[in-house]
Amino acid sequence: MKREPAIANWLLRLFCSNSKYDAVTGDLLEQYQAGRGNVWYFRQVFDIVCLALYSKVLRRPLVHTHSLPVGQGLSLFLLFCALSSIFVSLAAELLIVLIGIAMTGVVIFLFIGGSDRGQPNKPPAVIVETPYVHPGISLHHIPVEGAVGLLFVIGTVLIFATGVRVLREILLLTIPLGGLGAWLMVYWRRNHPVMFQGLGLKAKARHRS
Amino acid sequence: MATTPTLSNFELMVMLAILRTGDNAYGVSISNEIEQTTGGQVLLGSVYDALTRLEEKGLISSYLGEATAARGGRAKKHFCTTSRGLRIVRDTQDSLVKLWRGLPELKGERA
Repeated sequence: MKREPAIANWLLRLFCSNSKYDAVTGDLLEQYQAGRGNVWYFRQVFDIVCLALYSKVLRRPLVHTHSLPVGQGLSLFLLFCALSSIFVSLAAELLIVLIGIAMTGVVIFLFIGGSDRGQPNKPPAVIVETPYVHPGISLHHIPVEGAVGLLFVIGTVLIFATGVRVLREILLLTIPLGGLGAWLMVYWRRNHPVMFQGLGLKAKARHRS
Repeated sequence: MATTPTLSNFELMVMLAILRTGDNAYGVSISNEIEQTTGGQVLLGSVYDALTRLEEKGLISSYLGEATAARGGRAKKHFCTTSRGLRIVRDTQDSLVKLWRGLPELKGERA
């Protein structure tokens, strides 16, 4: 009797639930004993692992309770990057920090911004007033957490940027432009109300007590 | 009011394969059935992914079967369609047949 590849089974155990693991490994072993090769086995396992990852990350992303500590952890990391870059101020570190900030920004938006993907039947947690949404520019698809994450990123970049002379000079030009943009957004918000969507943490806290 | 679940192309194939294999519907037999009828290769992971989704939608149910030596002592997970699942398959068939009818582009093609 052939023994199935141990690494493949270890991967399956990592990514499959207990009930699914037994059924899947049994099926794979049955086929493997019937004459399928190692390449086939690893291909099947790779497919199962990819699908499990897809399910975990995209269908059930870091929502609700998970997003809070992750968000705080990322913010601390960003703050650490910003402070260290001010003290060190070398080109290599600067590049690393910039890449780090950009990547964490992307991660924040991917995980928190897409928190409702794959749950079409789930009603929105909290919707505050205004049924009317302007068809042109609309923020109603962006959860509040996404905006908070963005604020953290912008704040960190600002702290970091003030420590570098060239960037400080660039900021002298971009901050007034940013202010103008913010004013335009506030003006738009006043005339075109939008809906905001939260995580529903209040309901969760009530449930606990 | 409960919403009627919809079936993707692959989910419909899995449902039909379960119906075709009858009592012996488990991962391997379902993927073999699809491979034989469609002529394409089917990955076991994709079949299990579809089965999980169908079970979550309440269209199929599962139960553990016998454990054999060829499976390393692991039990088979058998699947069968629920009455709701059967109704959804029929509804899908009706809809597809209605869409199929009266298409001049498909006249003269094989049935």
